[in-house]
Amino acid sequence: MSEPNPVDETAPESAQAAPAEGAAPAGMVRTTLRSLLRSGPATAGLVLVAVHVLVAVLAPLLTSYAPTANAPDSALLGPSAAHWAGTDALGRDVLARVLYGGRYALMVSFAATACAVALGTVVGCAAALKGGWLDDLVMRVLDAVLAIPPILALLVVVTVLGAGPAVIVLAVTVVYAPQVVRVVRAAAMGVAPLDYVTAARARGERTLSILVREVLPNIADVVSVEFAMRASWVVLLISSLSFLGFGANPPTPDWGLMIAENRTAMTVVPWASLAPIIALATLVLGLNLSADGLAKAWGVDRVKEAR
Amino acid sequence: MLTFLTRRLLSAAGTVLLASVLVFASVQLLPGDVATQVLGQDATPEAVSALRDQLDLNRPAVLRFAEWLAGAVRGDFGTSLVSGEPVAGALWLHLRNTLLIAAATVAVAVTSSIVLGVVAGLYRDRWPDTLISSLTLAGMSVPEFVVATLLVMALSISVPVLPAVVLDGASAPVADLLPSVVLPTIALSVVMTAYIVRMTRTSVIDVMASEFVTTARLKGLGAWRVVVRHALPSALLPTLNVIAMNVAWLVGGVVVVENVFNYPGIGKLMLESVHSRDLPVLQAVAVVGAAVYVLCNLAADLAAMALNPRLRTGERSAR
Amino acid sequence: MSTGQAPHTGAESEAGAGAQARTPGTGARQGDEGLYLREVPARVKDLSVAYRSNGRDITVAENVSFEVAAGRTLAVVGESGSGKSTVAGALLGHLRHGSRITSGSVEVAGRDVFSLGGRDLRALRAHDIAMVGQNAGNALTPSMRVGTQLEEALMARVPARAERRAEARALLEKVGLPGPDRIGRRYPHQLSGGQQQRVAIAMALAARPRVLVLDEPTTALDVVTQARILDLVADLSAELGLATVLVSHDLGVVARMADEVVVMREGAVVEAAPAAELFAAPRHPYTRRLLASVPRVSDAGLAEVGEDGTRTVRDRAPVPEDAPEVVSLEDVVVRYGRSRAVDGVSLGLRRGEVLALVGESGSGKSTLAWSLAGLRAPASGRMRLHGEQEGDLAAGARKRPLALRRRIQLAFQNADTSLNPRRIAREAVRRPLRFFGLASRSDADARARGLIEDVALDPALSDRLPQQLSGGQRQRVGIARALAGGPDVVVADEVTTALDVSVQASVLALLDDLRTERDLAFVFISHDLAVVRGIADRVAVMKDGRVVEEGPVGAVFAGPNHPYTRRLMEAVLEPDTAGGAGSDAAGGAAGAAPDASEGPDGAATQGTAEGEWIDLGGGHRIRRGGE
Repeated sequence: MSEPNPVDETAPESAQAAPAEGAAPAGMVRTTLRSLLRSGPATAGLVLVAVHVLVAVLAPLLTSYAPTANAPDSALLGPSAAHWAGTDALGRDVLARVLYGGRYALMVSFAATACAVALGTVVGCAAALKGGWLDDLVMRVLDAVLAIPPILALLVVVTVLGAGPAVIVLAVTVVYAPQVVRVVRAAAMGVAPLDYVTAARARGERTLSILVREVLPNIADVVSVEFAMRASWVVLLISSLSFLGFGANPPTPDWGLMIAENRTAMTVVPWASLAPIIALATLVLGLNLSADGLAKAWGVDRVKEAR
Repeated sequence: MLTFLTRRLLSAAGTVLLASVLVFASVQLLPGDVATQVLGQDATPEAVSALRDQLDLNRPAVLRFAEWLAGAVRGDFGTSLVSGEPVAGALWLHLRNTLLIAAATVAVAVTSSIVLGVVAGLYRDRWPDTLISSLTLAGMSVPEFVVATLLVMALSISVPVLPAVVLDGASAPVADLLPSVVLPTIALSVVMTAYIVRMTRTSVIDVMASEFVTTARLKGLGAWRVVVRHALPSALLPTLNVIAMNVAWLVGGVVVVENVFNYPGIGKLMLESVHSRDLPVLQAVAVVGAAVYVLCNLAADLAAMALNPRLRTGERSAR
Repeated sequence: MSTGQAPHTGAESEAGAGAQARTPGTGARQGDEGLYLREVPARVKDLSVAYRSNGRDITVAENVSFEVAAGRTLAVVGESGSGKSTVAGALLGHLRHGSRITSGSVEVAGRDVFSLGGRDLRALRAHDIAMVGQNAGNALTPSMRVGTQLEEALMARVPARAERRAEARALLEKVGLPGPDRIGRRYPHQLSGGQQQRVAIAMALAARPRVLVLDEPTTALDVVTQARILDLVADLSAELGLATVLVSHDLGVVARMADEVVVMREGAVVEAAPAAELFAAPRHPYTRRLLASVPRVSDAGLAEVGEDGTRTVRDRAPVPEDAPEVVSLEDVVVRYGRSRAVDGVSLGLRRGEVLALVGESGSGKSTLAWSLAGLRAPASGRMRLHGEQEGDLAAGARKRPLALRRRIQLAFQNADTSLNPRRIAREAVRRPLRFFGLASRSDADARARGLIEDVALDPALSDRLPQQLSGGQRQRVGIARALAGGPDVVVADEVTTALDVSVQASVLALLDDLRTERDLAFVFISHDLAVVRGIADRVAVMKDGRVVEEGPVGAVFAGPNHPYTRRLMEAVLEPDTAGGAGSDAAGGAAGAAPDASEGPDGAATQGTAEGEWIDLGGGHRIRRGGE
């Protein structure tokens, strides 16, 4: 019944002399970008994330070493012209492993975050709009899932299903979606009693149509901030898993794994541990700064719900 | 107020129950045969069938859950597949050790983060805030195992004042474990503080901008009184929830940090049971984790009642 | 915009004299005869305030000057954005985050407020000046007992604890709160709005200030409570010889309270004069327009205001005798949980008629309206639509057939939330057209544009987002959206309440036009009797979920009335030019007496001879009892 909505929002430029600074969605993206870029920390955050993505994609072009090539005769070397960050106990080039190391973390984290945020948004909106028993049920189950500490839940799942990337994505989705549901539900509940939603309800519009037309556009900001913030936690969680030996499998270059492998040799080759630490920390820092920047640009209260 | 308390207690019990259903279900009902999972693909059929008997897998899951629950309520979490001993004994011993770290962390992190958060909020956009906020961001961007690793490097290897690795077993007396508690506590506190500080700061800024704080100021009250009597009770309310949620994280964070220090706590127990696929232990640890989380939330709610008369008096607002 | 225009009169009567008489002391404090010997504790000189936004300075107040003498009340009047609240805050040395003084000074009790350091400023606030804000619900600290907060305000003056307690008790008594011991132990959320405001006043008086600043002190209150609070303030400032600064958008309140008036617009003072003079002969065209825009209970129809502030009352188009009924309600009950928000209401509405539902908040008028619109199904009773589309309205919106649903449409109070902020105005109007199948995809845009023109908006605005429209423009778009369904009945829920008076007048005129052009029936919900007098054909007065009086607007306003209606009418304040310095219909009747119905426990003690009506003829009837 709700016919596709022609993109009416693109028109506002034709209205001359708009009085306020705000603009239509197309303009909103621009306004947001502008205010993001005006903030130094936010720009730095976006740049950090972008650099990490680029490095992960272009890793083969940036180093001539294979990240998994053992070279027992050049093990545990300090930084040199040949190996800028030295080598690890198996003689692998640390820099190459760090450059490649973001691939696993970025891919798994991105997929898991996207799934968790998508699922959480749908369920959160449904709970907020439908209310009643559905809301009660959802909140009950959520409380129970939230009660199980994420890493314990992940370990249980990994024990039973194994540690493949698909399993981890699935498990992280299940573990983090409830928290997204909470945030999105609260945001949607803030929108639901507003008069324009009431008007749609009085017209007798279907819940799905109200959700898509009236609610989602107005909580898109919350959802985006949620995405950036969740991403930083998921990266941390997944690196913790790798560190414990349940994420990436050993020859794979991965930061969490590298820190676990090399920390015993820390006194001998500190860079083998420090390099992945720096890489990991800068990625998470970048995500955090971006989330803060987005939140500030949109006036979303980012820390209301921590973890 | 009493009815509120009873309701809250009942719902807490319900949450733990539901959580244990989820844990039980994910352990027992996930695709594939649990016995084969535990023993690996090339186990002999006899071994598999023996384990099936031991795990009672031939009986309906609902029945098994009921039995497990009946035992769990009485403190009996079944028998470990590895040691053949009751799960409960090892569980309580490790839990005791973990609580040492957890209690110390909560004490350190909550105190320091509220102080830092309030300072940052009050000095908004001035140097104390900038400093605290930058440190906070750094703390949030480093996983706890990195902090732990760096601490080991600094305080156990470079300047050896504290033990890097715990050599005691789980049953060591508390006094022997105390020196080993320090580094894990610092590692966990750094990360936990970062999150709570942010919440406290935002909340303090919100409340300081509120009309009632303005009114208190315009009454000519001193700054200290305005902050402590008028602003703080309201500012700490949202912080409470964040603290409770962080305790949930703490239970997880402890797993990682204990592993770094080889500390004989519940995290180490959990990891060992993951490696040995000791399902009964795993199940018990997860449920205990959920119970701890729920208890913390309950405590947060009670604290909220102390801070917010609206909850305490149970009367409707007159508007 | 008038920039830098100095007030052409500076409260002449005192200007010079006050300065000489400023011997801080006691002699000049009391007595009306001391007009020329008064102390002048508050002086604003050439004050300009600006804040920075996006690197630009935005002026919020410009060259504002005035003085207030002890025992006198000065009102600062203006519409939204006039800068009046900024001035109020500045008197206490308080500016909003990011604002600063760009010129001028504020002098309170002989001291330059903005040159004072932290300690001196605190002392000033503790001893010489106090403020009562708009919403005491937000101004009282939620986690502290009311009595404790009051005692705090006494700390600077009364060092001994026991004495403080006694004095706090006396203050609560003074502001007319019943059982001061009991009230003092309560938390703010346990008090009604009126009680909270009384506590706020007591807190302001605790310092025994010389200057009292009231920032929209009654805007959040019901009319009856408003009248009581204003009486209280007037009595207290006379008794204590306070120099009172009243900030308000409500000219009725100002007329009731003020000795002198300063009219502000866009940050600048456009006119300053003694109240009697200003209301009798406003000089500035803006003041004249402002005054003319205020609806009066005595108007027999809507007032139309000319550019120069001339005022003509428009004739009301009579509803034809034979107009058919479009909506009928019989014994409708709507529940919220256990309570009956609407408790047995029977009403009829005819085609082309405006039926006003009047009552205080909580009277059930909005619930009834929402029920009509299908947002909350009644628990019992009949509710039907008649005419070309017959149908049962007792079902919620989704259960009504599409053709029935569109016949009743809603327009909302709050212009800020009535439109989706992410969709342009045209889309808001276009959606119901498409949804109800009233326009094809190709002509929906043109139709929407047409409707926007019908509500007297420039069609160029149809491409704008709500935030790029003014409050009045948004409200018009909301009305266009209601019209899009092609309704027989429009339910207008306090549609003009949040608007400035001048905008309100134009929106009311629009509604009246639409009614005659389209033969629409309106259910017009309002708490403002003067607005109702102008627009409605019939009035139903609601109290505690029931209709206590109903009848043609002329008859109801002529009386006799139900006691509750009478109370509402007596509480109406108007800038009545004939009555000198404002008319106070309430007279001394209301007084500052404590009022049981304000308390949380005094809600419903009445309800004797139920359902008995006294018929006064011509459709005017009054329910017996219920008071």
